[in-house]
Amino acid sequence: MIRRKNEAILTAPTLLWLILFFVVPSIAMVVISFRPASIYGGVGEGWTLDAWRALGNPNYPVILWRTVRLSLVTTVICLALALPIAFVLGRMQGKWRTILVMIVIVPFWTNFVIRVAAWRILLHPEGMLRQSLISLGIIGNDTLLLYNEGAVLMVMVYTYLPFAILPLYAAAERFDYSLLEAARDLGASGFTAVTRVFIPGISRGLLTAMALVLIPALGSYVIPDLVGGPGDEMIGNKIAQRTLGDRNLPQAATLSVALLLITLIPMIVVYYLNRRERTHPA
Amino acid sequence: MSDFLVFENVTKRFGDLAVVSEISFSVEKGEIFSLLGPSGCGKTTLLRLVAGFMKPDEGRILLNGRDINQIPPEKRPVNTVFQNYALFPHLTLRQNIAFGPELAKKLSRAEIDTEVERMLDLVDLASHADKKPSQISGGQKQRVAIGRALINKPEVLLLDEPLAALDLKLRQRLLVELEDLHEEVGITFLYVTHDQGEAMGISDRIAVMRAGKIEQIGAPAAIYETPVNSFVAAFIGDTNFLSGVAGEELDHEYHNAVLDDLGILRVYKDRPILQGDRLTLSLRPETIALSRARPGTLTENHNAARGVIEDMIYLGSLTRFRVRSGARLFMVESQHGRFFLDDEKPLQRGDQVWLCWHANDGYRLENFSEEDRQLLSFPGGKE
Repeated sequence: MIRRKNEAILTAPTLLWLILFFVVPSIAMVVISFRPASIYGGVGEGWTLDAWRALGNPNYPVILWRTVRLSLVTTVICLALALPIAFVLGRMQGKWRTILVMIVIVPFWTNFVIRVAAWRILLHPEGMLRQSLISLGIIGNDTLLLYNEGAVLMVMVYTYLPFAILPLYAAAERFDYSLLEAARDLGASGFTAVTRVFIPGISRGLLTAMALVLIPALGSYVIPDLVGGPGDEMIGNKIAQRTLGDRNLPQAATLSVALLLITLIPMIVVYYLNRRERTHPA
Repeated sequence: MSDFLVFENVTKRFGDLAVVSEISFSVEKGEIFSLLGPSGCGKTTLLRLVAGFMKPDEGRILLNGRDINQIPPEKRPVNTVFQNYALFPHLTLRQNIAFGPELAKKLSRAEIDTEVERMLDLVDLASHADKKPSQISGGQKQRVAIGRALINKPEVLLLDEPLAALDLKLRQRLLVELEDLHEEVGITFLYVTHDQGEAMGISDRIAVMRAGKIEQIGAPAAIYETPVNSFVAAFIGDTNFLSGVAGEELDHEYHNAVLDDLGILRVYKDRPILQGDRLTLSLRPETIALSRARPGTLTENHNAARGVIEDMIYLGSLTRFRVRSGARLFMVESQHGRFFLDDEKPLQRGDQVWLCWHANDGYRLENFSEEDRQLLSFPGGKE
């Protein structure tokens, strides 16, 4: 009984924090999505489905689909790049390992918006990179490196790659690499050993990496805003426009709830996969 | 039949350090061959060279007449039982054992299942087949590791300190199981261990290694009773080193020798001795008898010396004495009589005793190095 009480006291601050800053705002957001917009940019009285009906606008499904597609592709590319990096990092010892992990972390020391803005300079039509590629004949005169979906995807991969590397590295560090020798001893080629033993061995890190890339990627809005073209908007941009531009808060809330629902799906999947693993321990 | 697994001048270097240098020997088909030595002697490296996880810098390894240097580990007809078992944690015991046959793709699913069941029975784990490795004990893991290796029907089974992580009783039990298993499957075992008891117990032959070289190869009894040098004598069991100078020849079997601090004693001559040669004998502690009075029935081939018991350690099945005789210490082991019923009072610390041994029990070493004394339980032969 006393232990129960202690536990309750210990969890109370966290619980309170979550209720105040997560549960209450989320509920408020859902509530606002059913309110009318007031002409002064606030939330009006009464109840309406206007904001939800506006989702029928043929633009939204296209943007939602683009958001999901870009985020999934980003996640797949990030995981594919991070896996070999984590594999090597986990196997390394001592000084070099520390240096390489630092290299992964160092970009965080610069503000995220500044890093994305830096890409604008790098990829700028008059920038050195594009001009060099044109003079080398690798790209044509009419090819742009900036303001298109390719640029958005590349900067998204650049931004979220560390979030894939770090959990995978943490898992690889705990992985017993002698298991790969055991697999080869039993007849597995190097590649088969990795797919049948290494990847299942770091599966929890893989799930974490997936969630850590996919969820923020779904909410991206700075990246498409800065390096994307007008046709590369993601749902985050629309939410920002509705909030800051049109001052239509119910509409912004509706889009946010839609995004929240989309984000919940991968989270629930990760949660259940993790729990299954815990009840059948590895 | 013989020379099944052959090492020819095998050298392996890590940087400048030769972990294994110019080693040549051969293992016969079907035998249990042990590589025994202290840690860092290169025994595990030799095993890894056979498994294919490393390649020798020089020399070659032949298996059944075929040079295997260029064959990757997954294609070699050998399997390893790893020291830490290296079971796949995400697979059940059944799936662990099926790992090899599934990859080999030589058998149908049904045939694999039959083989796996047979193997589970052989290693006595059928009732745990659907557990994960984290749910079973160390001894069971060890049996899974053996089953997982044996199911591939390797030509040689490589065992890397397979019992090192287990407690003594379990180790002894599994050693017997391993020997039974060997009889059942008849596969050649290459067994790496630093535990001389394990090696003596299981092996047909033992190679004693030190610093990347093989010191001696032979049957356990030959290694124990006729060690070539002081390292082998001291590493395998305990012993007393008696050094001295050869005196006159007594007959074609025995020689006199002036042993340091002990005077003129008799030495068995299994190889020619020249008068004036420096020699060192290895005298095992259990070959020395202790008594209060000078034994009356000594033959001329017995040696005797006086001493005082300085210390004794009661170990149950035997008692280990440290006996000082002049400037030197002897280690003596003796089994018990009937503790309460002996006519004589049991020996006590401080008692004056006679040490007595047959000249044949002192084995003359080919080489003696003073530093090997450090391997003994009582290194201080002299103080």
